[in-house]
Amino acid sequence: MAVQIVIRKNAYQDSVTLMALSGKISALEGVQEAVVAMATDMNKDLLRNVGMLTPEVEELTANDLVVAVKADTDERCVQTVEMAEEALNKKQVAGKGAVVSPSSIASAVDLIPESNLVILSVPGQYAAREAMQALKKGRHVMMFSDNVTLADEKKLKEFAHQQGLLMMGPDCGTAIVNNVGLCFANVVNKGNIGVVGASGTGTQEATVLIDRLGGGVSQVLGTGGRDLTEEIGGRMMLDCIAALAEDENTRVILLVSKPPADKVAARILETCNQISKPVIVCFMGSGNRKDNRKNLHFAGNLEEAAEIAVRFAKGQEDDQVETPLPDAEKVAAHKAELKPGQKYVRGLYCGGTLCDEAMYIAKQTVGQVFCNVAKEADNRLADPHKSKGHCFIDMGDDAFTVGKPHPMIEPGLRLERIVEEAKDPETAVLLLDIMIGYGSHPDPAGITLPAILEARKIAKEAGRNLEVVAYVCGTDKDPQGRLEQEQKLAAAGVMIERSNARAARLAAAIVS
Amino acid sequence: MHYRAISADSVMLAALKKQTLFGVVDGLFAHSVNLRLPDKRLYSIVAASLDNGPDAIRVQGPEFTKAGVAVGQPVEISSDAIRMGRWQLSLAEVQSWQGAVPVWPTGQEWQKGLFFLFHLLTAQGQAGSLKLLWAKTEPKELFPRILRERAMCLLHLLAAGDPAAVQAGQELVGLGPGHTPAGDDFLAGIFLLLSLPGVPGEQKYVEWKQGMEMAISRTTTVSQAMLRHAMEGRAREWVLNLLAALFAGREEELESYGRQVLSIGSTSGTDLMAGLLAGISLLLRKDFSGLETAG
Repeated sequence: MAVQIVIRKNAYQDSVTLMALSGKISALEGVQEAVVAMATDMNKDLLRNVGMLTPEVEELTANDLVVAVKADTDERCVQTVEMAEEALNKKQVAGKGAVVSPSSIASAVDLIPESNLVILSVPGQYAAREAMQALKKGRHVMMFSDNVTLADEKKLKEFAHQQGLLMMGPDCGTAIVNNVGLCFANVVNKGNIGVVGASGTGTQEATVLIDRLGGGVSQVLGTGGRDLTEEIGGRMMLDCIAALAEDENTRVILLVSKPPADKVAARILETCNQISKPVIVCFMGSGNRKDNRKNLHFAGNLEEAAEIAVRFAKGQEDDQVETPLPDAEKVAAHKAELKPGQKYVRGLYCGGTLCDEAMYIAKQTVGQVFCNVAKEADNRLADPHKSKGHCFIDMGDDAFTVGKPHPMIEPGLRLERIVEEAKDPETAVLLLDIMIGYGSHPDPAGITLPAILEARKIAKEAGRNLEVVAYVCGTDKDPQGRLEQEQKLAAAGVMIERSNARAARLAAAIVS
Repeated sequence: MHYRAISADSVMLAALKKQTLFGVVDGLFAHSVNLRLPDKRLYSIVAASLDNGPDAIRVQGPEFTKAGVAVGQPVEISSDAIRMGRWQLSLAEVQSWQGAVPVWPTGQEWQKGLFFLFHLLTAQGQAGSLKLLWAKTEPKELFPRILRERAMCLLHLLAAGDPAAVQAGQELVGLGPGHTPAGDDFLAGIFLLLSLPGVPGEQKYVEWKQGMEMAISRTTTVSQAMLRHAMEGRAREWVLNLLAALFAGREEELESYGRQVLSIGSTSGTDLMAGLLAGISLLLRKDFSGLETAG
């Protein structure tokens, strides 16, 4: 094992640069240990304990910088040290991975002139102004903020279109651009499927299923939740489709959204018909449909959409696919565990689009489903905090998030609701999404489990059995690890399904 | 190159009214310049994008690395200007910043905000730091693992009033990555909390702080200044804003102020927030390991 040291006396590299360097050299193959730190007494002690303290380092003072590398071979050590020297000799600029806090778009652009994308997460009343500034500076925009007026959204998107820029949002939570995940995104394989999605969890579901099925994504672009309304006219979806049509790394295009306004849908589909690449369309809740246009393929849910996309990506032109029904024996066994009176499914969702998809699927089996964000007045809950009948709650809706973080980050309200639903004697099945990936809670399954266990205990003490079905939306490459999350839940008796659609079908089958 | 002083620490301005000070440029970065005085105090000139802080002046203008200033250059600081060679910054119209320190609150209602901050720390804190201080799983990387071990040890000993807490605290001084090593940022958070007005003045904490004073010199110059400020109950504007919002129960402000704190430096903000929460856990006699499983 070889050790090499770089010393910079009275060093003046800022912490951001040092951490970026540390991360870079630690990730190199063959590097066993890398320490980038000031030569304080404690850090020197630490170096001594790991066998990297040399007499030169011992002489240093607290204001001196030491880079210590231990690697498999001398050659790797020398290479790593050369990389460190080069990085330390470079002029300090804000670079990839650096965290800077400029006070305006203009100063941010000055600070990082090579940037080409601005991500905005500011209160809605300021978001449109900041986005326009960014667009005028020639930057693409991803806007996580919502509460922007439709008029402003239209203006921004028209301007972006004229400038050849992307205006992703408002209310756009997920994108993957040139393999870089933005905001809430999962670590998925690189590939040749381009995805355009409305805002968040629908896109995440599509990308993780593509990954699981052995496919990969070229680009994942977001349009925001209102892009396909009549007022906005699908402006950004059309631009994204055009961009993916031109992109040489994209072989197949997948569109994910709630059902658009009719005229908008017609415009989108006609545009897709003009391009030669196959386009898979998942307008959730509009069911499967056939279309004469050869390159258009419709999917009834996100799992089917991902399956078709991966097939076409691999050159298999087959769009016949159907989500399998739940295992009848399994369903019967769980039905038998329910007590008389337990008849409803209660879906508590962090992801709005996943909530929608689950609700549409469940409706087909159980009939009327109530929801806090249902479009139809008859199906809308009068009080979002009180469930009724079969009920699906989008916990990311404003009713739960004004002044509070989104449940994907801070799940406290959902945990309380899980326990509340268990107290209702008519609750038979709890249906949950567990969202992992960047931006999400570091251990969603872990933090949800105690609430699930308490819920089941409450039901048991009342002489009932509470069934819990969950779906972990993510990949094994995500920081939280999909498998680990599933195992935690399964160990507690939670039924795990491999897609949101299957989870919804299982939950609905148990109560039907 | 045009620079304009926007605001400055009122304590610093008051000191400058009494006498002109002479020092040298100690550190030069894109967004800050550190000036070292003969008594080893540090004054900082920081970019307008950063917040006000103890002994700091906020300045509008280009990156300081373009100012034609060099490390080691002599500097004269008076109540009307800072002069470094040909670089001159007028303080004539600078606004005075009063770093109002929040008072330790009574009642319990405000404590609901802790749950949010705890999760903000674990969800949004920087990797390689103390963000997982209260997590069940141990970090694998060297620095986070050792920092966590020593931080936990310190908290247990402090809570128990064990005199060994002094050594435990000293073993965090200067430990970790960063220009202000992670252990120092963590300790600064605890020092600040224990120094707030209205805090229950338990003798064990007073003695511990006294025992820590000697160890402060064993770290970088910048960190020493930060630790001394924290011991005096002085801190950056973003930190004070966060504590004020937390103590006043203004939950809707916690996210924006919390993110500002987390954005400090590379991992400094994360470690500082961990220290603030650790200090609060000591004063409330609560173990935050339980927060991960709380509903």
